[in-house]
Order: sequence, then C-alpha cells, then structure tokens
Amino acid sequence: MSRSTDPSLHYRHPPASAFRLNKLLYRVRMDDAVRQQFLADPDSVVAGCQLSDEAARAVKDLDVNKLSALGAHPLLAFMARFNVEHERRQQPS
Amino acid sequence: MAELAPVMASVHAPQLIAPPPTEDPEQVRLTLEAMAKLGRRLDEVQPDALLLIAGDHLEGFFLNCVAPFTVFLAEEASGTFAGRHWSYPVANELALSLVEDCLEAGFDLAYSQETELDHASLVPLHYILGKRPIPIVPLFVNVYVPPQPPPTRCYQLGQALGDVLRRRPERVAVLASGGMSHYPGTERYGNPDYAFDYKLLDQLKAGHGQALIDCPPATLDDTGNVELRTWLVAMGTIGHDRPLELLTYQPTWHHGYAVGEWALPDGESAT
Repeated sequence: MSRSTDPSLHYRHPPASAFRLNKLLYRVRMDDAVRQQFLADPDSVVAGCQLSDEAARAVKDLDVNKLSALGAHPLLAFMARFNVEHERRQQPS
Repeated sequence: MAELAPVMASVHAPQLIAPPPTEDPEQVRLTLEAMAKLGRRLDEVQPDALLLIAGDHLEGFFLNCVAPFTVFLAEEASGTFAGRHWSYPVANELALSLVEDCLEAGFDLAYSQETELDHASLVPLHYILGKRPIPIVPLFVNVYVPPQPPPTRCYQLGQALGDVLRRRPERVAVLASGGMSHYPGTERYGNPDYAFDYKLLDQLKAGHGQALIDCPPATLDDTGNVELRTWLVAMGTIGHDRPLELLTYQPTWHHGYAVGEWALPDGESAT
C-alpha cells in the first residue's frame, strides 16, 4: 500500500478504480445541467456511468461517508451534496 | 532589486461570505477585522502586484492533471461563489516571468490559461485586496489530492520565488490563503485540532518556522492542516526565521481561523 492510500488519512489518493465515481461527482457538483437532471431523475444520471450497484446507490443517496469509503475524494462528495441540497432548496416545492 | 512588500497569511473559510447562523458573529467580526488590517497594509505599501498562493479544492482543477504547483496565466482571473461573481486583473507578464525564472532555477511549475477562482481565492481577495487596483498572480498548490508536495518542497518553492521576485523591478506582496485545522467533507468536520494550532502558532510567532517545514505530510493531514502548504510557500519568500505577527486566531466550531503577517527581515521596511 502506498502512503497516499493509507486508510488513516482524512484525504487519500483517489484510486484509479474510483475515477468514474469521482468524475460523476465532479459533474454533479460543477455542471448546472447535470445537477438539474440529477434532481429530476437521479437514475438517468447514474445510468451509463458504469458504477457498481453500491456506488450508484451511494451517489443517489449522496452519502458522503459511504462515497469516501468507496474511493471518492471527500471534497467532491461533500460539494456535490452541498450543491444539490442548495439547488433543491431553491426549487419551488 | 525591489523592496520587499508584506508577506501575509489568511483563512478563507466560505462561511466568511454571508455567514450562516451556525457561525459566532463575534468570531467572524474579529476575523474580518484582521483581514481588513492586511488590506490597509496594502494601502501603506502600494505594491505593484499581489502573489496569491491558494490551495485548489478540486474545483479549479480536476483529476485530468494534478500538478503540485500551477501558475495561472491569463488577462483576468474570475470566479463565482454563493451567487456572486468576482473578477481581478492578472499581472500576466510578471506571472509568465515567474514561470520562466522558476523553470530556469530548477522548479518545474505548471501553468494554466483556463481555470476559475474558487472560494479559497475569492474570500481573501474580497476582504483583503478589495477594490484596490493591484493585479494578481494566482499560484495554486495541490493541498487536497495526495500525493501532495511535501512541506520542504513548498518552502523551497517559496525560496525560489523570493529570489526571483527580489530581482524583479516590481514590488510584489505575497498572500497565502489557507486555513489552520479543519476537515471539510470528513467525519471530523466538527472537531478541529486547536491544540496543534496553538502550539504551531507559538513557534511561528517566535520565528521557528522550521517547525512547520519539519511537519511530516501525515501530520498535516492528521491535524487538519493540509492547507498550510500555502503558508510554507509564502514563508519561503522571506525565510523561516521571521516571526509571524498573528493578528487573530479564532477557534470556531469547525475551523481554526488565523490571519497574520510575517515580519520582514531586519533593516528592510515595507513602507
């Protein structure tokens, strides 16, 4: 195990195996259109991203701790959730 | 040789822009007061440019290329945060020269012509630079995506930058944007390591910057101080033996907010 992937670190190297997960979280965080789609139909955003069922579930739940355990960078998971929740509050209920 | 201008360090917590009800108003007030004081130092010194050393939060840059140190070469630098937009002129010729001269000096700096400033740049620019017509040179340090540059290398980059800047005709102020103990996105968010911060600040105030240079990367992570890599670069520009004048340290519920300025070498005045 490399030093950068030591599980005791708060911020670990994002493993190559989790790249698709991190890319999806980055798009949900940064891309307004993707975030809108995620709010309207999360399944359609997660579909086609070739995630494991466990990772797809964690993305749809925006479960930051679970996502981090699956290799997501904590800041990407945290900010994806932050921006989705912010947008959800802006929408008329 | 240009005279030295202030070498400063500041917190950039996003909560400082439109503080949410979770924040203690007095802690926010004291922090903003200290940042305003650094702004008045810019009025006294009137530097030609401001070197801003900030850590990226996987926002300006993604995993397509993770560079330890990246200079932004552009006509202007802008960003949006919390529904507000900011834009600042870039001292592009100076920035390009820094890249050239650091490459010559053995420092393989990356550069970018396309990125946006995130809150780590925008919060200190808003409260310290404000509307002063001083162009900036943004330098981004990889503080959050391991493997990051080790503290020693950050300090050495600061030394190289200091050497280059002192040969330039411009007078350049230096501002490190980085928080002390905090753990955004992790389960430890509400539990900063204030004890580490206080101990380190005592050492920095006494001119023992070597204590920070000697910090193992794992210790920076463990104590929530990964962003102090930006302080190390700033400290390198004037040397680790300069005492830090701490303007404030506020132990908020999620983050140690620190603002300060390093004392310039004896015999050199920034005013």
